[in-house]
Amino acid sequence: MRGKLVVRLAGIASALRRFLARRRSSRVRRRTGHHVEQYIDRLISDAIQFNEIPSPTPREEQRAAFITRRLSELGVSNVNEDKEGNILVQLPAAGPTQESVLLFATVENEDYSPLESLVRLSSERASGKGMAGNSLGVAALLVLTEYLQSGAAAFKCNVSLLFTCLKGAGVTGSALERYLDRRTDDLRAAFYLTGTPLGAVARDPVGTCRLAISVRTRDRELFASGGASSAVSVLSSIAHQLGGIRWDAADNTFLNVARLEAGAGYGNFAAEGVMELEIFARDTGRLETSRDAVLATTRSIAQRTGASIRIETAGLIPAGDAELRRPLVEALRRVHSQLGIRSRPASRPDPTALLNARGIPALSIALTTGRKTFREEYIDLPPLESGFQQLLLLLEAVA
Amino acid sequence: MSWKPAVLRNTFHHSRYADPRRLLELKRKSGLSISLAFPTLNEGETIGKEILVLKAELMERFPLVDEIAVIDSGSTDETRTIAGRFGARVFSSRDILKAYGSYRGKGENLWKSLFVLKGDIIVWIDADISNIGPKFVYGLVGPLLERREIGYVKAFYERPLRSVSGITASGGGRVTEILVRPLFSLFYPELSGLIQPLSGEYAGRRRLLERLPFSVGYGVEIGHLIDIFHQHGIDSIAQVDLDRRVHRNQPVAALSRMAFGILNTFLNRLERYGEAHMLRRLAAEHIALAARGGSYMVQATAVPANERPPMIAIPEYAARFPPEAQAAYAPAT
Repeated sequence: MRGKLVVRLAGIASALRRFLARRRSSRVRRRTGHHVEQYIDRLISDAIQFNEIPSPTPREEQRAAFITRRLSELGVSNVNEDKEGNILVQLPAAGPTQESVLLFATVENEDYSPLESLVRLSSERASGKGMAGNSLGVAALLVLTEYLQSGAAAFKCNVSLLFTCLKGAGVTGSALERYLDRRTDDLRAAFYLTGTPLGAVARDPVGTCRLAISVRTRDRELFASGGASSAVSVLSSIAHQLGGIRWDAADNTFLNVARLEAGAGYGNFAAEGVMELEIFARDTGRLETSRDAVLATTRSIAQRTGASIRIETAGLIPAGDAELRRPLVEALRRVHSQLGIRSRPASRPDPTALLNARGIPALSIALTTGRKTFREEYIDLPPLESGFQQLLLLLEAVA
Repeated sequence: MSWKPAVLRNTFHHSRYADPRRLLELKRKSGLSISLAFPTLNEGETIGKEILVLKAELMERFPLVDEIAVIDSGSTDETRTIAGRFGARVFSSRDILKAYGSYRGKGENLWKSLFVLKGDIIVWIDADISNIGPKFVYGLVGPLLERREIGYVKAFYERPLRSVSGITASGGGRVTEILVRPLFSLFYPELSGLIQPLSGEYAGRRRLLERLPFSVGYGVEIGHLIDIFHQHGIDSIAQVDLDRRVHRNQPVAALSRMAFGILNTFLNRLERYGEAHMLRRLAAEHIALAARGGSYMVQATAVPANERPPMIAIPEYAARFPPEAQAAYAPAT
């Protein structure tokens, strides 16, 4: 009886929230003139289906197949694929022009798990590893293509939609950077679409250097005394020492231990492990200096403990160019204000800084609110309509 | 052995039907309408995604399906609210054909769904699929749109199990392999060509389905197959490979009760078609034993063996879907 009452009350609360969201959406629609409500379920559906495709795979072929099949179903003919795995759709402007606006999303999900990436859907949330990240960005590009194909909007600039990959950015060269190397058009602006958090405006993003430290120690019996240190000890010692480093400008440099995994579980000596670190800094020079300090500290600990160690730079994204981003930041804030989205500054790293480094004004845009923690990852469904409207208004403002 | 079950000739891969435009054209030419229904009981975890994905893809983008409905057995979780939120018509099983009472069971929901659904082709999909995708529907509908002689299509797939420790690469189909396949091999070798005869995803033509009795419980699938085999022959049955289906694992105790229900329906059909004769009345309860405190306790569970008559025999149904409006399903000979 009590259980039924709780379910019923939860149902009423959920219906009330949906009613309020619908009322807000209809106000927004009247203001913007874009009736996108029928596209929102398609957006969620595509994000779910995309999120459940395994990743990483060589050149993300399975995910690319989903994208090209969808584009073909939508009747999009102007699709170009390159050998790095980039998929580019070009939607021409209403009149002749060389200028383009680029919207891009990344297809890989480094956190993919066959079980945890299967999405669960309640009335208000979609939960599953990857949903707060790239999947929604890819789905938004596909649904935007569908919306623009229907003739609902036309722009003065060409609009290029790019499905790409950031793996190896700033180090070995990502698919995105290969595309940027080869492009011939005149890019007026670029936007990176991602899942969350809606309203965050990266006015002045910090740079980041991502390191993966793999440790291997000599294997031994669990009860043997005087043997090698375990990988857990070595990695925690590295994390502890790095936490104690005095940076030259403490407020401008920060180190984050993003993940620490070691050992093979109960009954086994932990002889192997990996730690993922990221260093944030306000400018690229500080980033490189800080990276050198981290590498030196790590190697010294490894030498002392006798562990063998391998350090890989997994990614290097420079700090963003605030001046170059300013017009887009202002445009985005105006759009947020028009849609009633709470705009707030964010200084976290932003892949669009790779474009800033080439003189291209670029900014990241998130589509909804949500959460990503160790145990759960979800997106909220009600803000998606505003998030998608935001894209259209921003395109109208800059394209 | 060179003999091959005939149904293997009617075995397809879902990719054969992956072009939505081709299917839409086949649908347009046939003039048939398609209904999709989910029988549910406390499926709040998965039902929302199933409805959203299939509706967005196969009703809105490519209007292959004309309606989506949920036939619920009295869920106490949010199944009904979520299903309605994502655009399904939601029915309570006990409110359909009230004068005929109500049983609890998947077969009951399927039988009653025939009364409320409008389509000429009915697709039934279990509501506990974690990796739903459009192929689950177009794969089942494709053979029916493409080949007039086919009246009933079953799904088969690789069946990884979803459990607390992750996904087990293989498994599932235990009742099929231990119970149903030996029975088919003994009595109906033609049906042994079905790779997963108990799969919960299948589609059929209304004019065939309305003439089938429905076991209200676990025996509904095996009952259908034997009845269709007798009424229309093996060539009216097809099966489609859907690659992979992730679903919940069932404990052995539940599978044992399921096997009891299936065996009950199977023996009933043998008797009905004069293929065997029971010399004694079958018991109504499944009996399990549980060890407790050094002794054994008997756990008797009533497994419903009730059957619903062919829907066409229900006057309210006949008035709603007049038999003369469309000829009964008759496979090409």
